[in-house]
Formats: sequence, structure tokens, C-alpha cells
Amino acid sequence: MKTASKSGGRRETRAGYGFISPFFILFGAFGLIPILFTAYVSLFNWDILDAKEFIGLQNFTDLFTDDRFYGALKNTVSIWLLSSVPQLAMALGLAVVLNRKTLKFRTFWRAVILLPFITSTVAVALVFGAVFADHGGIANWASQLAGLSPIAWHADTLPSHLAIAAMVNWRWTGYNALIYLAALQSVPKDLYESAEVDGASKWRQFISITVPQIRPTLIFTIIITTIGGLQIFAEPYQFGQATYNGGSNGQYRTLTLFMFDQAFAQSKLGYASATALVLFSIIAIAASINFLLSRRFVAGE
Amino acid sequence: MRDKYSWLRQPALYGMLGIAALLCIFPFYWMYVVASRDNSAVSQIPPAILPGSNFGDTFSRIAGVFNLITVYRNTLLVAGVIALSQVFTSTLAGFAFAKLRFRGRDPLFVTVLIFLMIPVQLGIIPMYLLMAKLGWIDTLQAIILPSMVSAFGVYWMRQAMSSSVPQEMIEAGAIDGASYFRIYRSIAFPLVKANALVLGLFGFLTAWNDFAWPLIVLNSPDKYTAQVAVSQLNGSQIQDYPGILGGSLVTALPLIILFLFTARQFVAGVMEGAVKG
Amino acid sequence: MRKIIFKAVVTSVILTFIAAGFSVAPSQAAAKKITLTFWDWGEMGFSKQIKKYEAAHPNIKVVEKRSEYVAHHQALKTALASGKGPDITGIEGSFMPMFMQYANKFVDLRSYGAAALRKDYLSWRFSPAVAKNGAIIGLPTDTGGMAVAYRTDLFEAAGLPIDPAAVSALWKTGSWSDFVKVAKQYSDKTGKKFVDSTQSIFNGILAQNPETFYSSAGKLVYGSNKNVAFAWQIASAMAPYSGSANIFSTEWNAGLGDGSTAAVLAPAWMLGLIKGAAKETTGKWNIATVPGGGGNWGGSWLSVTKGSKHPKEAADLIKFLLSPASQKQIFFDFGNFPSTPVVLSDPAVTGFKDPFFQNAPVGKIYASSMLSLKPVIVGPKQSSIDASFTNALATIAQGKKSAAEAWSSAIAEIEKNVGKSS
Repeated sequence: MKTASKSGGRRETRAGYGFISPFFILFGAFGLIPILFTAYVSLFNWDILDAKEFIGLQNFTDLFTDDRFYGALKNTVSIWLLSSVPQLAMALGLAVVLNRKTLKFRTFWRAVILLPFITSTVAVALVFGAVFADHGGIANWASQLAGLSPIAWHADTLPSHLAIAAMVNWRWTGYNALIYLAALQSVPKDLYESAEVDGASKWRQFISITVPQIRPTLIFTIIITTIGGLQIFAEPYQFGQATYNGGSNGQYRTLTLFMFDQAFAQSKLGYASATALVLFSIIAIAASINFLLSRRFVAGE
Repeated sequence: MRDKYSWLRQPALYGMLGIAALLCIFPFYWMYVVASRDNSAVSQIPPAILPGSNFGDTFSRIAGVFNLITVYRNTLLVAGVIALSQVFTSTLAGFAFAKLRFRGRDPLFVTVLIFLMIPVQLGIIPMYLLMAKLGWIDTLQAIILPSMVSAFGVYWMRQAMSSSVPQEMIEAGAIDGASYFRIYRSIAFPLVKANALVLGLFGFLTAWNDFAWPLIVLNSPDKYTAQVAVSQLNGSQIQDYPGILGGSLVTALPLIILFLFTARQFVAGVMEGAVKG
Repeated sequence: MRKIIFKAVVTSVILTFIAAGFSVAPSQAAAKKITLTFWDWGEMGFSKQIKKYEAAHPNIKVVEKRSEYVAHHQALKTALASGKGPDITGIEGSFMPMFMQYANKFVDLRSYGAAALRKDYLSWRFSPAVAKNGAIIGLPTDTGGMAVAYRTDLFEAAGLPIDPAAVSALWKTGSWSDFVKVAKQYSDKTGKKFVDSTQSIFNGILAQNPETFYSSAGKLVYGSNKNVAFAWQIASAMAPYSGSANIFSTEWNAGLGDGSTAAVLAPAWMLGLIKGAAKETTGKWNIATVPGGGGNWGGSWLSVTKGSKHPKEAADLIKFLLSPASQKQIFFDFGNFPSTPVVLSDPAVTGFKDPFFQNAPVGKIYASSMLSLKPVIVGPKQSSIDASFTNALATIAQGKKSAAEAWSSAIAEIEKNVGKSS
């Protein structure tokens, strides 16, 4: 499969560079700007309208001694785990079910699970805000019916993470299910047939055939949810009613929320940019770790 | 008798799907309920389940704030161009990264991944300053151009190309003397149509729902895209919940219709892939 | 290869310019018509007056853009930095000091006769928009005089008097500490919360004192100022008897109507909110005087940015919208309280009774406190400091921190965000 030479013939090379150039050209024109800007501004103290004041790496040293940074980091990791692990598991389960040949109304089910993805974040926030209100609210009403005491969804830390994770999972599970479905559809049917003949149970088939066959897709979704999950912003923002503090005590303030707070509410663009760069490093590390772990634990061909 | 749980499997399966479907649909239904009632319906306990009779009022209020046809047209244009562009640039680049050999290919791909990982939210500010310099404030191209390519799309399509397109077919095509673009167009792309469709759909939906950047860049109502339009229904502190929820519902309608069409296509495309594989 | 790429990029660019073509054509077709962009954070009370103005000036069209409160001011800042501000923008009270630092990005309204209009407005409402060099960068909108709106039915059930004079007498002598006593009495008796939020109490008390977070010399004194300490003391004492939801949130709105709020510290603009959020409780409210004396909480300005291509038309519109006659009309239409003295003494305003509040003479109640106020000193980081304090108060109301802990964490956060207090 892998050829010895790293580079193909001239035609192939030219095609290679040519084909990737639209991406890099357009990205270079627009996508690169936020990145360069953020890196540059992180070395300054700036509030947009004032003059810039060069302070070198001070933003970074301040950040590493800021409790709020570590608090936001904890919240980010917690919300990320609560919203990625159950989500991918459910998505895979859904995809397996939707893949069955004998399923009736398959177009309907497949369309329905994408419905959450097309709802505007503002509307979702209102809906989930009503569900997860601290006093009143549908979740507390239901839990009271079940005999439990009401939960302070906004005031307490873990409940707020659960509520936000619920919002994220609601929106993205269908999306990931469809990605898995596309992957499942390309697994050769004869692999399953011979396993049936050999007497393997459905679960056994799943573990030994399905999972390894869709490994690249699994890795893909894990990486994408890592990258996206560590940057969750819209949900906690809306959960706090369009505020950047992430709860009265920052109990659900994620790193991006903290970044926005510093940039827009405190007018400290430099500090916010430093946070963005640190967040990037965290994402890069986390994504790499996840990549290596997935490769190891999901045995490939 | 193969499996002693087979009798349970069917109802359990449909039951589970039914619950999932309910969870997905119920918020939409509830949005309609609130949109057809009034502000207090949002926080009503026990929750309001039955729709009221005010939807007509709500709708005329929405229509008074923005022109639905214009908003649909703008958003359709923006989302459509973005989706097409992302699919095209991503499939092309994905093909190259997956199937062509050239110097620096892997490091270049890693930079694509790096681009994916960088938080870009603060970019709103330099982007605005740039758009101001270009004179593109309050134009649709200011919304379209920054989103025309997608690092995620490149990763996704490389993934798809890598697993669905056999190297031998490419080599055969090359030996036959076809240009690589021809190979891409006639051999590779058809094999990943389903994935491309999914990418296009997601790009379209993401662009449709984009809120923060269009809000800051667009000033005239005749340019508003869907989410910006809906946000104009906000009171300063008095919220118009029926308006906002009703507006979201109404602006999501074309998407739902689009859905019903692509869902069928999607199934067909995916089935095709399954048979081939 | 390159040809294909080239074609592709060109096609995409062409497509986007077609899109742009849609954008360019319509506005050019409507030549001679002047479009004024108006940025705000929701209905500020001007919609009816704007329609009147457009009817009287057919060549002028006003295009409003609403953003969320904080996002609006941030977008304004970014726009100013790029030189592309809107024609007209609203600026809220706690953000004005920040924009005052960049007064040169706004049109000096003296060029359009604003100096002569100064006498039409309450001086303490006018002066915050006057720069050090005398430039007038904004005209005042409304005022936020304070009173206490209370539920007569809930008071009655708790054994409290319901007549406004009697209720006002409950805290006439002892003022805020008596107010806390009444709150405790109510909550002990009924088991329910008394007020909507600690945030309102804190801001209300601050509004009654000229010097709070900043000294008259412009130094940060938030940590040592006795007015701040007092406001904190009362607000934290009120925490056990207050709702803990963020002010203006969905939950807060719901609390106004569902009986979990018996009293609200209400600036004039709050009355409209109560009416909108708790329609079904009409006729169950009345209005008493506020403990501690007069104060102003809230109020905004309308300004013209230098990016405007039609500063004269923009200035004319602002002058119209904020004229005494217009402010009087807005009071009747929306309840916003005027900042123009002549209207404040107008019998139609002082005699105005609101049936939602059992025909309380809202005009008289709010007008009387307005005329004697002194300006409140605000500084550039006002809203940031305020947010830190009010969040800390919410943690007390939510039972998460003691008053002392909350105070220290508020101070620590402010020091990081803004700087140390003297």
C-alpha cells in the first residue's frame, strides 16, 4: 500500500500542490488572520481603541497564576467529558440501529435525529433554560414528581455541567450518528456473513468486525469532539442568559467564555489572546493524546 | 432459534428510536406551543403542552420585523455558496492528501489539523477591521468569503478518500494517461459522494445557523441572514419569547424542507456505497 | 492543474460577487433617500417616535439594529476602532465613561446646536456626556428614579399594610435597615422571598450616592468607599430574602409573576418590565417610596459617531427623539421617565395614574425625586466592577458563600480585572 518514494512524478506532484492550493490560498487570505492577530496581540496590553502597550510574555505569566484560569480549565474538561463520551457512545448505538436492513421508516429516523442540529442556538438556549431553571423549570418539576428535591441547575457546579452537556449532546448526537452511519455502510457485508456462519453473536461481531473496520472514523470523531468540546462557548453563554461570567461564581465558565469575558467585558484583548494561545496548546495536546490512545485501543487491520 | 432475545429486540429497538425521535422533536413542538401562546408560557409549570391560538399574531409580529423572503434568500445564498465551496475545496484537497504523493504532504496536512485546533473566536475583531478596510461591512461577501474553506472539511474528505478510493484505481487511471483532475472527477469523487453530501449538508447548516459574525457585520435588514433577523425580535430587557421561538421555527422551515429532500438522496447515495463496498 | 484551480477559485469569487451584487443594487436604486443606521440593545422607547419622524421626513429612513446589551457596546467599540460606526447609537449609563475616553470618535453635537439645548435637560443627566474639552457627544434619554413596587395581595396575606403611605412609613425613619427588617418579617411569616434580586438592592443603594467606585478625582476607591460598603452590607443582609436569578433572565421574569417576588426596587423603566413579565397580576401592585432618599439608576444617551455619512440628519433625528415633547409622548407610550424638567412638572405627567399599579400616581412619585439629584460619579470600568459585586451577591443568595467570603472574592476579581483600590 505505501510506496517507497515519498514523492510521485512531476505530474502527480504538480497535481498535489495544485489541488491543495485553493484551500491554502483562501485560508491564507481569511483564516490565517485571526490566528496571526491573536498571536501578535497576546504580547500586548490592548483594548482596541487605545494604543497598544508591549508587555512581552507577561500576559502568559499572569494567566498561569490566575485562579480563574484553572477554574475555567476544570470546567472545560468536565463539560467536555460529559458531552463527548456519552454523545459518541449514543451516536454509535444509534448508527448501528439505523443501519439495520429491516428497519422501517429509515428515512424518517435519519432525518429526525438531525433536527436538533438545525435549531438556532438562541432558541435551544431558551428551551433548555426553561427546562433547567433553578426554581420551577421542567426538570425540577419532573424530579419532584419522582419524589426528588429540586436541583439548582444554575447555582451548583455539577448540575450546571450536566445541563450544558445535555444541550451539547442534544445538538450533536444526531450529527455524529450520521457520520458513523456513513462509515458503517461501507463495511463489507461478507465479513458479517462469514461471522454469522461461524456462529458469532451480534455483540461479538460488533467488537471484532465493526469497530476495527470503522476505526478511522472513530478516531476522526474523537478528535473532532476533542477539538470542539474544549472550545464549547455558545451553550454556557446562553445558559447564563447571554453573559460571559459562566454563573455567579464561574461554576460553568469554560475557557472560551473566560476568553470572551477578558476580551469584551474587561477590554483586555491581550490577556484574552494569551488565553486563546494557551487553549490552543491544550487542544493540541489533548487531541494528540486521544489520537494515540484511539490508535492503540482500537485494533486496526 | 438463534437468539432467545429476538422477540424483545424489535419492540425495544423501535422503542428506543421512538424516544430518541421524541427528544429531538419535542423542543420544536414546544417552540410552536410557546409561539402560539404568550410570554408566560415559557416558564409555566406544569409545562404548557397544548398550543394556543396566538400564532397568527406572533407571525405578523415576526413579519413586521423582517422580510421573510429576503431573509430566506440571503441565508440560502450565503449557506449555499459556502457549502458548495467547502465541498469543492475540501474534496480536492482531501483527494490530494489521501491519494497523491508530493513533498511535504504530511507536514502540510498536519498544519491543516493545527488550523482546526486554533480558537478563532477572537478573530471577529481583526476580521471586522479587515472588512472595514476592504469596504465590505454590511455585505454578504463578508459573510461568505471567510467561510469558503474548512479545515474540518479537508480532514473529513481525506478520511473518506483514504478509505473509499482504492489506490489501484488511481494508478490504473494514471497509467491510462488521464489527468489527475480527471481521475479526481471521474473516479474518486463519485466514490465519496455520500461523504461529500454529508459535508455539504453540515457546511450549509452551520452557515445557516451562524449568528455572532453576521450580527456584527450586517447592518441593513435587507442583508440579514436568518439568525440575525430572529435576534432583532429581542426586547431590551423584556423578551418576546413567542417571537423569538416562533421566528426560529419559521426560519428553520426551509431547512426542514431541504432535509426531507436530501434525506432521501442521502439514503440512496449511502446505499449505493454499501452495495459497492 | 493550475488552470483548474484558477477556474475554481475564480468561479467561487464570481459567485460571491454575484451575491454581493444582490447587496449593492437595491440601495443604489433608492437614490436621494437617506438611510440612518440606529444601533441599540432592544426597544428603547423610540419606535413610535421614529415612525412619526419618517412620516414627516419622507426622504429619511431609519434602520434599527438590535444586539444584546453587552454585545452592542462591544460591537460599537469595534466599529469605532475601524472608523465605521453607525449614524446613531445608544450608549447606556455604565458604559458612557468608557466611551468618553474616546470622545473624539463621536460627533460634537455643539455643531448642531446642542449647547442651546442643555437647559432643556436635568443637568446631572446631561453632564456625563460632556467631554473635558466641552464637546457634547450625546443627549440624554430617560431617567431611572426609584421607588418600591409591591404586591398588595401578598403583603396583606403576610399581615403587612397595603396602603402606599403606610408601606412607605414602614421604612421612613430607619430607612434601609428597616427595609431589611420588613423583608425578614415577610419571609419568616410566609416562607417566601421578599425581593427579586440582591442586584437591584445593591445598584439601587449605589444610585443614591454620588461617590461609589471612583472618587471625584477619578481614582479607584471601590474597596474602601463607605457607600459601597453600605450598599454591600444591606444587599448581603437581604440575600436570604431575595431571589437568586440573574436580573432580566427568564427565571427572573418568571419570578415577577408567580408570587415569589413581593417587592421590587423599581426605577421607572422597571415598571414596564413588570407589566410585560407579569401581565396576569395587573391591579395587584402598588408603589411606595424607596428607603434612603432619591437616586437615579439607569438612563442612556443617543450619540452620533464620526463614521456617519449624514451627521446633520442624524443629529436632527436625535434632537427630535429626545426633545421634551417627544419624551413626554414616550412616557405615555412606554413608561420611560423623561429627563427634561419641563415635562417632569407637566400636570399631565404628574397626574398620570397607572391602573396596573392600582392607579398609583407614578408620574408624581418619580418626578419628585428627580429634580434635586446630584450627578453620580462613574468611571470607565464601572460595569465591570458592578458585575463582580453583583455576581458575588448572587453567590450569597444562592447559599454558596458567606458575605465575608463573597466580598473577598469580589475584591480579588476586581483587582485582577481593573486594578487595586486605594
